[in-house]
Amino acid sequence: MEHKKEIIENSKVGERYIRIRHPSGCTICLCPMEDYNSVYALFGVNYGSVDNILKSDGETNLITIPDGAAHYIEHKMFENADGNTFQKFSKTGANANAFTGFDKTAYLFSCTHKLEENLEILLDFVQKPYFTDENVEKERSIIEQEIRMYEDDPAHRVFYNCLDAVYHNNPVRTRIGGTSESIKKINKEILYRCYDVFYDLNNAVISIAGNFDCEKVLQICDRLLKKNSGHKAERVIPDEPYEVREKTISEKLPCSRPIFEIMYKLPPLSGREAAKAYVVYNALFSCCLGENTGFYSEMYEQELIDYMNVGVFHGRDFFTAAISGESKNPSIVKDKINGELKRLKTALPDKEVFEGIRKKIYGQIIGGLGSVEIRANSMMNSEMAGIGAFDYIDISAELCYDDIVDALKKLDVDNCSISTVEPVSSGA
Amino acid sequence: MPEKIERREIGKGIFLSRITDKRAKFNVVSINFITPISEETASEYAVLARILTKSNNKYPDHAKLNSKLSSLYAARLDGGVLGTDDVQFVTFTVEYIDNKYAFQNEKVGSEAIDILLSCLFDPLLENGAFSQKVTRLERQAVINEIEAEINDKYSYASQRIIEILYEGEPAGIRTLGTAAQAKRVSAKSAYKAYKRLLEHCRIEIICTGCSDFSDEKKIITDAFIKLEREEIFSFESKRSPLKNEPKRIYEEMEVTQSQLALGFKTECVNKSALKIMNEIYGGSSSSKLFINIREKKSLCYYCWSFVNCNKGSFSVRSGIDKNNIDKTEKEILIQLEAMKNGDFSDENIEYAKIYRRNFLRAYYDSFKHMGAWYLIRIYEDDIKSPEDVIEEEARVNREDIINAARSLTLDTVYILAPKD
Repeated sequence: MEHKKEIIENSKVGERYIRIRHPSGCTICLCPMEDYNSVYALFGVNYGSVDNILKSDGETNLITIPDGAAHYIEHKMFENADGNTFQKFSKTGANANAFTGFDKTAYLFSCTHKLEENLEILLDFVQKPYFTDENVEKERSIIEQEIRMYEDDPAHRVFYNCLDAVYHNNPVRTRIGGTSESIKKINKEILYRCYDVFYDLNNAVISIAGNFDCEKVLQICDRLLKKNSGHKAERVIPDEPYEVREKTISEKLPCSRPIFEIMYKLPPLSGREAAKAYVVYNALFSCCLGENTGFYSEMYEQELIDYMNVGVFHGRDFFTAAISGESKNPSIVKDKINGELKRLKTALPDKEVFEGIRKKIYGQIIGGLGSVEIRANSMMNSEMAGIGAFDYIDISAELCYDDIVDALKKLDVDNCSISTVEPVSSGA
Repeated sequence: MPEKIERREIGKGIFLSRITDKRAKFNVVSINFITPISEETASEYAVLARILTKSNNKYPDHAKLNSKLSSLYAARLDGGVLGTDDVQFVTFTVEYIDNKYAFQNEKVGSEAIDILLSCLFDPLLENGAFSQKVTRLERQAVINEIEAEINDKYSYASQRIIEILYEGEPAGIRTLGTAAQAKRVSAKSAYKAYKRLLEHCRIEIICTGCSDFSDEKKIITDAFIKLEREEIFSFESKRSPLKNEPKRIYEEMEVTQSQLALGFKTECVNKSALKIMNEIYGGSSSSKLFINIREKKSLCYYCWSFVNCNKGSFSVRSGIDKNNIDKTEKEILIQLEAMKNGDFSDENIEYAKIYRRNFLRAYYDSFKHMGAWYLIRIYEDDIKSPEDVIEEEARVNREDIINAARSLTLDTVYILAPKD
């Protein structure tokens, strides 16, 4: 089968990859990297924990799915009618795994030989769901233990509690794995229903980076990828008010010192707009509050913070600028942060600091280009976000001071939530 | 593929190694001081590593130093301590993109190395010691880090099993030391620790990346040959003795999931056999522990094993419901008994070797991991490549694996459980 291959390249860094819109509906991204030993391959679907409302073409009713269904499917996909997929991968020596995120799920392997065999295993099992009452029930206690593992982690709790405080209706506020209660409501019918809607190949991306033969890979895809059903998953996005739901949220857990997460609620974006906003807000918060700034030094020297990280948390239909850290008094830290942001709206961030941050962001992106894992993930994530994998290179190189000044002026500093986890009085 | 490691002695107990890999986009220079770990000095070195990477005479505060690093395209400067067996590594690293990726071909490399060497050889001093303010802040940061070990329950349980398994041995000492020890660190004592590092510790400098490091090697060599060196501390890691009877420790905390850790000791010296045995028993998603304890009995989300060939120890870890602690412990031992009885197929052996081959060959695609690989091989005084290890492991047979399993004797059981 002939395929129209689109070459995506970036002359700044001399890198390229191939994109193919396969007749099955699936998008395939291939990045041959000669002189590498290994290959990293992903099969991803644009479906995650935020997709908790089912509606397919032609249907009129909306069905709300119990939290944790996307993650449950990820667990069960490794069990097939003819055995466990991990056993198949064990024969080839591949290191296989999977993950479920807020807006995507991916199945992957890395290997240094037998790529074709491993790819066949991957494409076979992801297209053959096998859910029975028995195997769904068996998995429940395994997932319950995974949920508890995360629930015992203060960093996990402070982050999720913050999302819960920021959002009213957006399902990003729910746990990816669900809760002990929500997973009890999951059965094979629900899993099949979700699979049929969201695992359609129209919604899928295959991404491979490393040392491999593109033609052989495409032949395997031609042979194994089933035609898509033609149905498209409809995304139902609940109305989300502008303001955060709660300004503060706090709980106590065994931990040594209070930890915090602050999120500034921003309008959700998509495509290249979202990519640019990601770079702009990362640069903005680094320039205003990051380790390069006098503000950070002052907070550290006054022992108000033990550490503090700034960044952006965003995905399909959600976008926040986030600050996390450890402090003996998080609410004072929050007040000082907001005070500094408001001050800089007029005083403006330091230009020299900005120049350094701009180079830093660019350098961080360049650093990832030599890794097969980062390249494969980057192609898949970019494709699902509707951009090219090299767009971030151009965006960061073109970033200018006015971009961050504009963003700062528009930032509603008071539209934020702070989540804290404080130590309980007793421990082990 | 990366070039083979080149290593040479540039001063008394000072070695410089280079691994060039043209595929890399950036470079890493790490300066590693190797010292026996002790209760008296563990925290001291932890604080020292932080003090030295916060500033230097040229960039006398952290914000200025960070600004400079940012301007070098996210050059990253790190200082810290790592614990391995009975030794402590005090490590200083700078990571930077290659000059060819800079917007105007700036000389990122030489500036980044200059910062690293300035931190080491031109630190910010007050009255013949480190800054009181910086010492106070970094001492507190180490104390915070020590106390935060309780946050991650998996890591906390890992730390506890190590302490109990190696009770009374250097390997049982926490890498960062204790909060009480850290509180005793002063600007003067940190400065003495600094002199001790420079005068007495073995120094392994490893350069990895796309550069051939011809310029960097000269700069580094010129800086280090000026050092006045005294008697160099020797270090070795001894095999851990078996306790007279297994020690059981049960602790409670406000958690929802229990942590179970079993520790074993072995006198087996066949490292390859121990590694392949570990793979079959509990090293991957097709291991006996994963298949039987997670997949068949649904007792846990994870159950895996680890081997430490230098210390002659072996451990199994699992996160489980409190009601399943006894059941899981029994099943772990049942599966080990199965290994001792040879209850695994020739296919299991073959697949374990294939998995290990895959894992080891992947090192060649990460030059950073190659740097870490060779640092450990140098410390073990057994400098071999991942390919060399693959060849050794290929020769392991069924009898070797059974003997490796039979050599394991239970030494320690640690349980962290929810409070009732």
